[in-house]
Amino acid sequence: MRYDAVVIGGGRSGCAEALRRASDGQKVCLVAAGLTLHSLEPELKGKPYSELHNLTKAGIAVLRGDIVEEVLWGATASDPVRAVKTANGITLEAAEYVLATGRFFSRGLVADMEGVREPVFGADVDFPEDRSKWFDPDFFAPQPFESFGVKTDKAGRILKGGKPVENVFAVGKILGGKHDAGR
Amino acid sequence: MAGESSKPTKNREYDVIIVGGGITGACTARDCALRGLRTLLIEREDLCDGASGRNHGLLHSGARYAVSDPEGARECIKENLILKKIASNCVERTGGLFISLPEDGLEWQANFVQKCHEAGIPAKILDPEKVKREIPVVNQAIIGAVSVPDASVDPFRLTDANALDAIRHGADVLKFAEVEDFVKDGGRVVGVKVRSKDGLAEYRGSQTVLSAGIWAAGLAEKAGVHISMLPSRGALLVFGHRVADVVINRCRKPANADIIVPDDAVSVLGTTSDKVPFDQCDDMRVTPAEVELLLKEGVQLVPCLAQTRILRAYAGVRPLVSEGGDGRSVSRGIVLLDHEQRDGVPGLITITGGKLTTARLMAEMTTDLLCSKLGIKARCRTADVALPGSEKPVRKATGEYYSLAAKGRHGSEGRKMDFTGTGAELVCECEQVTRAEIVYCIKEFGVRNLQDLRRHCRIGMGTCQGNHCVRRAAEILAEELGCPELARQFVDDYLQERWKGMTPVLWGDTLREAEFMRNRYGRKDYEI
Amino acid sequence: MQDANISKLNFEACQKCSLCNEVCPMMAANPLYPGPKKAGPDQERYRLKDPEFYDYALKYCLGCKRCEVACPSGVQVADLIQKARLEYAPASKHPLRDAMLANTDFVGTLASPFAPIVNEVLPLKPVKAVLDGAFGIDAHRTFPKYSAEKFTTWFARHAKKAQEGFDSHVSYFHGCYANYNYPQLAKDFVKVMNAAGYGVHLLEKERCCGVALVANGFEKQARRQAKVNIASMGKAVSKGEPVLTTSSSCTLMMGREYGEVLGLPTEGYRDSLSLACKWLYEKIESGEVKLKFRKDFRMKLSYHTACHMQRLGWQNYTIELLRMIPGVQLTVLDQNCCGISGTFGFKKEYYPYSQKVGSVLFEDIRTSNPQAVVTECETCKWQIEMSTGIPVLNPISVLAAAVE
Repeated sequence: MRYDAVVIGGGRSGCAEALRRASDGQKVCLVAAGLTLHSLEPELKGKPYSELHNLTKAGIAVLRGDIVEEVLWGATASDPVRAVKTANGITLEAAEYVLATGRFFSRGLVADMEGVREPVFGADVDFPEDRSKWFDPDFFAPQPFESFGVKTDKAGRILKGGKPVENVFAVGKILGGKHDAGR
Repeated sequence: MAGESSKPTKNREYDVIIVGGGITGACTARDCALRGLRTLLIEREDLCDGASGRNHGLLHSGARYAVSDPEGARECIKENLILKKIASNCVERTGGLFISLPEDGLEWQANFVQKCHEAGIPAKILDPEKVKREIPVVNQAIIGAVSVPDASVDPFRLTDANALDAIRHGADVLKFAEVEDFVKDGGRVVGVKVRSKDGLAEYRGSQTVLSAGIWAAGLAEKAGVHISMLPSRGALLVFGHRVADVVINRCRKPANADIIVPDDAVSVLGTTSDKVPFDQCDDMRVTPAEVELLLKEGVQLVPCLAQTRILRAYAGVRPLVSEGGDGRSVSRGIVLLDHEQRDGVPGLITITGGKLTTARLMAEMTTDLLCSKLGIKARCRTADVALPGSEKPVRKATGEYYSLAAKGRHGSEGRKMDFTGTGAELVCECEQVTRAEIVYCIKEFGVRNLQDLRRHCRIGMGTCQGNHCVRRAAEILAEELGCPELARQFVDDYLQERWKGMTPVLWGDTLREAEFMRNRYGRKDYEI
Repeated sequence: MQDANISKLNFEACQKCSLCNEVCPMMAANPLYPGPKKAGPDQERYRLKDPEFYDYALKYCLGCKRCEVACPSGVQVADLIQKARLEYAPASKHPLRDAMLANTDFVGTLASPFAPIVNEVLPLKPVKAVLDGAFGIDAHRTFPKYSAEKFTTWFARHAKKAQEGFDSHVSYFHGCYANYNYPQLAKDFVKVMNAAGYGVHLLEKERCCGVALVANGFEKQARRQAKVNIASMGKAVSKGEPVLTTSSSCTLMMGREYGEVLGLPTEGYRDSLSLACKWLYEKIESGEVKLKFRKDFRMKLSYHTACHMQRLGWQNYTIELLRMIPGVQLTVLDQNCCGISGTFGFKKEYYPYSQKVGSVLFEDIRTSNPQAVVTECETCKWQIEMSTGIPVLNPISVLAAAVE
């Protein structure tokens, strides 16, 4: 299916980005791994579908319970991404893609013993190699892993192998330390 | 245990004071009480706080020691059969496997089986093809497999059951009280000085037994006695679910991380073995190197461990004794030291070394010695009398669904829980702990905080490591203790303690959980 | 290296966020149901320890899979529950009724030749009372009518030959409903495909997809039938034909659950199995197919995303396809479960829950006041028609009516 923009991630930043673009007149598709903006947000407790209703009303095509599994790249990693394919077998083509998949809980970043990676586009991630530097032994102290995120250029495009990808932008928590988490 | 009956009175004269409320101390207290000795058990923290609660939860068949320590093997198989009978509720008869991988060869297996038979352990060589089919998670490269009667044992419940029975036979149990010094009369130890939140107190006893694991060395020094002990640290990993229903060992010379045990709803892999200085025994953090070693070896037993969620890492410390003092002849066997004979300090006995599996035997040996010193003739009955909770088999499929887990943990003691009304409310979803079970544990075991509570009912020990139940549990505990202002402190302390175990394995789903947990509780002004 | 968790149906990825519980229609309607979080990943850990920990209340699970759609961790919650039921559930108290409801094709085979009689007899009060009392089928239920002429019979007699006139073909898995109860849907499918320039082949052998068999615990039979379908679909795919369907539940069953729940190989056909609407939309978007619609077609429709359609995630194809039809005035309803869940709502003991679950959707439908509700699911159709009196159409039937 063809859109002006595909927003990947149905959290606070993803929903806001989708609504902003839709109000600019863009045809938007939003891919949410689970529900869109849901009752983990305190004010939405008990209203699992409230944001979905707003998104749908704004004309946004929402894919729920789906994730991007495959990226159809251009000639090189810096060229515009041609399309993405979801786990449900849906091919989405768009002029621009927005990565709003959040941090670890929402699987925007995936960590294993070896390191941290961004699973959708394989964007460059900022994190220390030494695993003992990922956390503070005091649970209540700020935790270093909470500032891990993808690297971007000045225009907000993700970096892959040090070079920006032409039409993929990152927003929200996946920006790591650069993201102002104070809400 | 918190009941008035177990509150010791300072004036009371004891026949025996046992210092250290791990499995050995609890078993000794029970044996003494059953033989009619006036008994006091003192523990500086909660029962099972030390090595007794930081191990595999493996009821050895003895097979692991058959080649290297035939005597230990014989002790194990004997105790294995006894515990299956008297502690049926704490033991799950999982059976055990010793698997041979191509690099192990089959020579060890042949000798191993012969040595098992010599020790009286029913070891049976199995067709590896059949084992691969029936237990698909086992390393499919195995060239041999031997079945032995290993089992899974719940060390918390076993310690609790022994302590309960001791109390029911007249013993006193004093928890959260640290022995600071001994009371001496001439050269003789006649009691202990104890520090607790109520201040300093003195308890007198004809005999004092040190069953404090690695901490016995430091205590003994205070009585002027030197025991040459080597703290040996063993790290373990807890995996989120049961990957196999049997204990799986490697059929080779015992080494690092070559046993995985199904414990309740999780699997425990271990262990490492490293000498550590005494000053580290009280706060052990597992290192990344240890985790890597455990995983590297563990996947040789069960390859899917590489993809299984790891809930936490923890470490315990084995009290190895090097009698002779030169550090060369280290024993993992039972060490019973009569300090009257050995050091000329009458009134003091140390029981150490040994294993979780042989704790009852250690207690029997100790109590035999105590009785001979006290001039009491009484037969040991601990091998014949069932422990509380295990008196009769519990039919599990009775009553509310969520009472099943409680009855599984506490056996016939589960009858004392009130599952009516809010009692049936599920508090810890991972480990299926209901309000009824929590209230029972608080009342029965004199619980002081959430760490104590978890030892008695597994609360917060499952997948989410307390993320979802800690607040509810804290509220119930604070309410039961009548101090609602403590709820926040309970949560803080509990999370800090869980964090210690989560950080060494902070990746994958555990890191996701950590982020979720921090999102809820990361700011000190979290909602309670 | 610790890669993404691959434990069985990903149950260890559960973070207990409870979003599955929030969207579970049964949990809201029935306090006896522990909810997907407990019934799925939580209790799974204990079932692995001891089958004694199977909770009888799992029987209330509708299998709507809304929990899986809501899960941010990719846990296959409903599959976990379904697998647990297959493995541990005690025997049904109504074995005969369950077998009758589950064997949609067998009963269909028996009923079709006697369709006029069956259709007359089933709605009769005494008969319903017998069904209610002896079989445990709720007396309130309207039974789907059985057609006198099966679709396959009609196809062989009237359509098969003409299909050979086309250069390209699709294979059609019609399913029990289109064959026995409502052949008009299958006929509409042939009409739409032909209008799109494609001939229709039937599969060499087709058995009921088995969704009702699995839900009722008949695992062996489901597996047997699945193997026949897998072989037939594989053959069609190897000829270069996509396998198209008109039922969302059959599609989900064959595309996903043959692999996830029954553990059968699906690689041979999975990527080529599609709902007709998705396939059509993609063909139209790529310019390979052009559909001409009647200029005088006017219809006010409300689209209901069936639960299994939501799980497939393909509703946007249907919605966009319907919007291509000039003259269609389309309301997209919020996704809510109708409550029937296949054969569940037919059972006497579950009927009240079924109606309670569906009440939100029925109200939405009445408010939107359409000429017809559109959905891909046949059991939603029975439930919505019975409960609201508003006719329900498969989108393919709407297209068939709208094409020139």
